Amino acid sequence: MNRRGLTFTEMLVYVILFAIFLGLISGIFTWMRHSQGSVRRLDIFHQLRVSSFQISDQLAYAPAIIFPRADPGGRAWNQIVFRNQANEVVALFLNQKNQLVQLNWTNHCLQREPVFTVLTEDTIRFRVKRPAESYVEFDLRMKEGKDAKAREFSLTNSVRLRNVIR
Amino acid sequence: MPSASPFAPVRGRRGLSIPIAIIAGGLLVVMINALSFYSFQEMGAVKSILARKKAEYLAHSGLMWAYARLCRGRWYQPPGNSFGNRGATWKWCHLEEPDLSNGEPNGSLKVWFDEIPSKHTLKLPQGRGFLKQLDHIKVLALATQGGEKALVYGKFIVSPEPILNSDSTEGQAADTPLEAEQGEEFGLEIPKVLINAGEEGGADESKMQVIEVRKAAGSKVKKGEIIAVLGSYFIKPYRGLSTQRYMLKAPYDGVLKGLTLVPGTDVAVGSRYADFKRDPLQSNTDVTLKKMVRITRIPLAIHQGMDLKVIKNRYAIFTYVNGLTEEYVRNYASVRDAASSLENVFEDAPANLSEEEALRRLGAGRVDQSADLEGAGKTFVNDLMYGFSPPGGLGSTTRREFPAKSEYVLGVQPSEISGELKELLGLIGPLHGKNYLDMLETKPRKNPDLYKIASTTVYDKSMDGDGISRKDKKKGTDDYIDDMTWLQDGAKAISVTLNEGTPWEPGPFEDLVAAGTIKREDYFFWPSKNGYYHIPSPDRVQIKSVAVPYTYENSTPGGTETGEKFRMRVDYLMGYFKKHYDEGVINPPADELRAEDDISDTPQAPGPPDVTGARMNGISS
Repeated sequence: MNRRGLTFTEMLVYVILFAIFLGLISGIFTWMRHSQGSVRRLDIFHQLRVSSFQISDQLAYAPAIIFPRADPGGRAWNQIVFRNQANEVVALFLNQKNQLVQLNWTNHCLQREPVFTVLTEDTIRFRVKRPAESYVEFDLRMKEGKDAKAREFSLTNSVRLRNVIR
Repeated sequence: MPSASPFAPVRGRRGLSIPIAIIAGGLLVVMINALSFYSFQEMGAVKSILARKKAEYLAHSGLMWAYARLCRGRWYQPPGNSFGNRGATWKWCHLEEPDLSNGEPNGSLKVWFDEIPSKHTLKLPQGRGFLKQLDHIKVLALATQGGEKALVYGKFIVSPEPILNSDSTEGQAADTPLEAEQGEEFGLEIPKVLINAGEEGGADESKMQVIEVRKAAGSKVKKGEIIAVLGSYFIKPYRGLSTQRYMLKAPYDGVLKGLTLVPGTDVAVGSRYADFKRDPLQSNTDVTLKKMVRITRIPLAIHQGMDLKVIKNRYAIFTYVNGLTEEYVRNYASVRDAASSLENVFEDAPANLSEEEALRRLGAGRVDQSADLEGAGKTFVNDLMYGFSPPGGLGSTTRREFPAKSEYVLGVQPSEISGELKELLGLIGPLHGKNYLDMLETKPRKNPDLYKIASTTVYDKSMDGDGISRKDKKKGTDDYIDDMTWLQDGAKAISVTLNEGTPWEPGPFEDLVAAGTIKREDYFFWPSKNGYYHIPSPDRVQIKSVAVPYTYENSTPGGTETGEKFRMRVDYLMGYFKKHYDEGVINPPADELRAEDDISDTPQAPGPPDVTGARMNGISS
């Protein structure tokens, strides 16, 4: 009668509590995995948003678009060359590492820095249309990871030039 | 001791379930809070970005609203100008708070206008003084939306420059030296007949018929209004009135005096048909270019905490923008021909390029870092001249083709002095030991191609050779613009005054000579007047070389709102280009109000008119 031990009820309570605790822990890990994916997606949205703002800011105050020419037919190109607000010639293009790169050609010609600036990583497409002289549409597409089944996210923006010199 | 009942509580034994539950619950709460915090932070960042964008768009709307209103005039100034509205008080600056938020809550907009005077002035006739002119108007639009602020700067430029103390943004052209030589009152002459022998046969070059007279003597006219309609005569293959019509138009705003045309009668080509008195201020120019340029978003760090109602604070913003100007112009001029060499650079490029491939396609660029700010400015202005098309609704194809139809027309066309003056110069020249008729030669007479130049390339070469003025470091942009506008020795202004003695008919002349009252050698005989005139001293004969400006013309449809040909004097057009970057003098006024122009009510010059007819004038070009 003096033996120490667990009653069936106590064990049942301990098992139930342990199960709840285990469920919580596994839920936390599952949630962490999901939130990692969400954070990555938020990161991609953030990159898309920031690069889109940077590009549209530069274009909005640009005095001239050098390439492509205005084409009301809706033809699209993969690069754009323009003069920025400081009248430097700037080109935007995708490099072979799927990075959207800004090339400051004036700095290159005058041997100043910076020449290349990476705007976004993991960018699978950059398309530009110029339906009118002072109007540009561009579309950025990024991929979540290198997996073929990974999701793609795109952002389209359009800009009217405010500072065109004629 | 074991308890008696199996249901009695077990004392003395401790468990971990409650602490574990508390720790697990705590960890869960922390993680949920972290995720919420991150999400809300992200939402907050997006909300802030959206509010900042809305504020920026609202500021831009304010700038465009200001542009549309300024194109119509300066409503915030007293009516008229300081020449016609004496005693009015004019403003240096003005604040408006338009409601453009379109129902968006928590939005507000303030727009400031600051007028910057030009260094040019308009000379009033008869020495009555000068009128100051307006260089440009600086516009600041401050928008607030959802707690975020955006400040945008714009510069409203106008060319030709309007009168500063006025409510107008229409350009006020200054007199050219030729117009100043011509004076306020001058004669209007019947123009030459245009010969079109190939189509209509030979025309009578000596006279025309007055078909219709639309204005009466003494009437006020506006520049370009038709005064009368004339018709020319055929002489072969048959005689009679041709279908060709000549519209005599008022050359300026002014008053028509002493009109001698009568419908149905003939008038001699080159004869004077009316006197014209030009208004001291012309109400219009052919066209005024207006544009909002240098639109710049001012970083928050520059204007945070600034009260923009204070003039000095606004001028601090203008000083910041001025600091960007040198970089703007130098970057443009440092790498030449970017637009033409890069316009097809990526035409057939693949979707992905290496950095090396991109640089290879763009090329090395034509670098020119030798220019200082003035040199860079001259390059900038010169380039814009080649690619000019007016602001407005031209289609992209029309805009590309507009520069190809550029023409430059000299401010005078071939013209002769009157036969009478020519005869006079021929008579007194040998008496002075000079060939006055040879001295009438002008540059365009020697090279008739100078009267009209049909391309910007040829014009640039004619006026500036291989960039002599543009590359001359001693010459600023204003000097370069003058060199590109004015053709030196474009015309000759001739004036002969015969007031040193009374003219005599032959009979009385011989009597006076015989009586010893006058000496024969002091006089010359004028055959067409059949009289003897006292030989004028050489200083009574003036043949002055006059610089004549070129006017840019372009007949591309759509160049002007009225459908007329686009026309603007070259210095006004190049001044318009210069205003794209030149911020002018950044000197804040002491007060918001300014004094009016100093204008004399009493004419100071040139003195009483010549009522004896002793003075003969002419322009030769």
